[in-house]
Amino acid sequence: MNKFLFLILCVACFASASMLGMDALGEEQVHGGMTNTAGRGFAGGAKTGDAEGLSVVNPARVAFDTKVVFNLNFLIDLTAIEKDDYAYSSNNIGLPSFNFSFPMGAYGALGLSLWQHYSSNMDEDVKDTASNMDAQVKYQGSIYELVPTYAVRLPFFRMLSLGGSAHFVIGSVERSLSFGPDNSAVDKKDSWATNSSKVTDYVSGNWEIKNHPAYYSVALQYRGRQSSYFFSFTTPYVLQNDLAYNLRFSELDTLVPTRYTREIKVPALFATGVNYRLYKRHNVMMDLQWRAWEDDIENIAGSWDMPSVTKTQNDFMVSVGYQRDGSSLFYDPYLERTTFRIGGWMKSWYVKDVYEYGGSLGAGLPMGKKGTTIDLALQGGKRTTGGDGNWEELFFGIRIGLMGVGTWGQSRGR
Amino acid sequence: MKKKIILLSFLTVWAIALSACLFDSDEEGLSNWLSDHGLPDSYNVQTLSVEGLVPSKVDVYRDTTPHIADDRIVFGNSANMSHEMALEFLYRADSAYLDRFSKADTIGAYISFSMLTPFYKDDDIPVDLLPIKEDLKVRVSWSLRKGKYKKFVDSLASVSDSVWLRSLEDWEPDVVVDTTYKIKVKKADSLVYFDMPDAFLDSIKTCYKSCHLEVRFAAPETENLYRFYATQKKNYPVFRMRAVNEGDTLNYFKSYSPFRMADVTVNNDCSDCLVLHGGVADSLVLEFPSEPILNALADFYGDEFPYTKGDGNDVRQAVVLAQLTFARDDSEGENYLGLPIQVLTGTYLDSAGKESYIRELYKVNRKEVVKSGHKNMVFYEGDSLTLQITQGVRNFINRASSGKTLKMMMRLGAPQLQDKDSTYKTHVVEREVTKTKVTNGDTVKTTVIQKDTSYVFLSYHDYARYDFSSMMQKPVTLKLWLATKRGDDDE
Repeated sequence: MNKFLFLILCVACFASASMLGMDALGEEQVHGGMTNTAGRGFAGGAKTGDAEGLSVVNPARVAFDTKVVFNLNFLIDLTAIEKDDYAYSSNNIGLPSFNFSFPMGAYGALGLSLWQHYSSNMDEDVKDTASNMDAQVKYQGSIYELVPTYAVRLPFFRMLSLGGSAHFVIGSVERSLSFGPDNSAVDKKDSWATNSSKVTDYVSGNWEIKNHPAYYSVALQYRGRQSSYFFSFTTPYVLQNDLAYNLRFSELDTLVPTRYTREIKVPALFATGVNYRLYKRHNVMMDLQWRAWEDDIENIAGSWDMPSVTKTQNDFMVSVGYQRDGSSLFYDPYLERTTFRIGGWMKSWYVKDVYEYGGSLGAGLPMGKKGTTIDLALQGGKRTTGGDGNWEELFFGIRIGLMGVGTWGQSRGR
Repeated sequence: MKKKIILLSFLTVWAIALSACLFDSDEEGLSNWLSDHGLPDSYNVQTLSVEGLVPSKVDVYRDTTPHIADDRIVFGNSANMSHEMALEFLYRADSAYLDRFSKADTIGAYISFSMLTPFYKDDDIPVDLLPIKEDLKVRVSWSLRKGKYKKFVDSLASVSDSVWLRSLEDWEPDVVVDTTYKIKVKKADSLVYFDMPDAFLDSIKTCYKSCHLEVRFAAPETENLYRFYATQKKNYPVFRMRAVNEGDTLNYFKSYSPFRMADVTVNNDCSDCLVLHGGVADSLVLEFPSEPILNALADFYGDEFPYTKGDGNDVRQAVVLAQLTFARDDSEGENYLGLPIQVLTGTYLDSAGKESYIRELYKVNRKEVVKSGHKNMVFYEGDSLTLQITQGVRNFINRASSGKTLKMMMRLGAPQLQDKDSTYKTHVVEREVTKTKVTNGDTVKTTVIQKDTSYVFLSYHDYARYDFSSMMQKPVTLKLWLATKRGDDDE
């Protein structure tokens, strides 16, 4: 296990994920970036089971779970950006979400998620041709959400469940650009003064929701013998980012930063999905989600020639998937007990003219007899842009999910 | 379990290998991405000269507080400043010896000082320091306090140096005696004896138990400045009593060493003269009006200065380096060791709403220094003095909306041994030396590397004097090297 962790840390050294929307919110981890969902093309919000776990889009689903689920997701992301004849690739490792759900039978189910909803990561050195010094470009931003959830099956209408969750936003953003001098505009005899003097343009700030502790999601889920559906609504909210801009020469500098607060109006999200059981353990599913952005997003920017806003568009996602559930009988062959998934999606980003097309393969590998599973998903695709400074991206990712299942609180008789 | 972990590890490695093959990357890729997003990969340097600045306020602060002398002390006069020596002795008297001392036929006492040998032997000092020969007129003063028990001495020993130094400022002696000593110092390791007057001998006879003796030597009329060892070196000063009776074949001595010593300075320059002395912490505090600097920046950028938007803190640009050039005339100054003296600078910054002093760093213009020496020195060729105040100007522009002025401090620093050394720090110089040796009839040549330490500054102060009056009346040029965050059409 130590070797595996070492490998993950090695990959983390070259940290950079998608570079789209870096100055706005960053890359969105849809559906909590859960590995099992990602393996089926981010579809399956309506899929129910004994231990499906939490869904941050469909809080009602967890009401149908019967087992306690503990779920931790990793993402190893490889991205190549290209424009004309130029290309650049980078790697990143992330921890998109951590989820815990606790079914309580007739009393419903409780859940708690820690979700890295948006992230912007980049830590690169680039050779500056003017000074021959290394320029460092670092972006590190995360909008985390702590999401407590409650869902309950309705009395008399047991095929229906109602769920709600609150999203408490925390997180920070930091951008650090360290450059060497370009002395081309000064007299040669004056260049000594700035040789080897690095300047760091540093911005940092915190995220929170303006005038409110959280935003909320409500969902209704129907579970039929063959078909299951859900509908969810997430309230709009205003993200507030308090930023401090500075130019740094050393950590001991006493310069006072310029402070500025940007506000980002995040519109309401509508989501729906269907899961259809073809026959025993075979499911096809499709999900849709839609968020109508009205306002442009103010960028971190604040300097150089960086654009001050990121233009937005309607953000929607269509995903389809297939899943063959693994057998729960421990004496079945291993491949029978393994869950297989496949899916694809098309997503229109919140960034104008950015469209993502992706596909994925996934598997749920049972570990032992108690239901502990390692989920694995391989995903790949392309993000197209309409130019405007944005570069197209090819991406490939490995998601690893560790899922522990328990039967706490359940008596043998039930 | 192990197999599955190996499988996962394999997949990860495979993915990375895949990225290396499929996800091509070139050196210019990231640079181009940065440029497309309006991010530079270097900052443009611009220079701006603000000419004709004249300080709006100049204050001189004299260092008149006594200083503890641990390893060395100066005595005498230098550049309109007198240096007196204050010595504190704390001892338990030897009553048997004191009986003898009181009744002896011949008694005497002296306090001896060892010349600061390494200073007088220092070949790097280009002037002749020895011999010194004079009739030294000295005012010797002392006070003696007596106690019965050891705790009297112990309690005085526990008095901190700072408290003792403060007490020296209004010290009242019991007795003052003017006397003259014949001084002849030929060698660097000589001893200088100050025989104590008869009244002093009468005083010390009275202390039989615990004694607190404070002695001060002042020589306001001499033209020499003596440098002696102080308490922390093995050649510390010694107070020695001698009692001899007729027929004695032995001299009977009793010796004490000072518990601590201090250099008490008396500045004879007028209090508001813009004069700084070396070796002490005299300082000149200058304030420059903000308008000319801010106007020059406004003209340069076409922006508003001071910046008053938002919280008013201005980080649109940063000062990478700032230097002030003054017109210099050394004719009104006096130095004694024949070496140029660096001028130290500091500035006053705003730190969490409070003014705090920071010593400025000095960046060396290597090419220029090798050619024509450092520009931050006085008593040196040339007619200008250039001082760097980068952090001060950076802070000033950052908070210009608060209405504060640019405030800096100047002080005389150490004499400079290597005026054209571009390292500006003590370093080791290696050189190859070839030695020839005859062994068994064969001549063998061996090459060894000899290492020498190259010192930039002299380890001793020059108690010099520099008059800045004319410098402060002439226009000063402020030169700025700036990095700006402004884009082509932004802000």
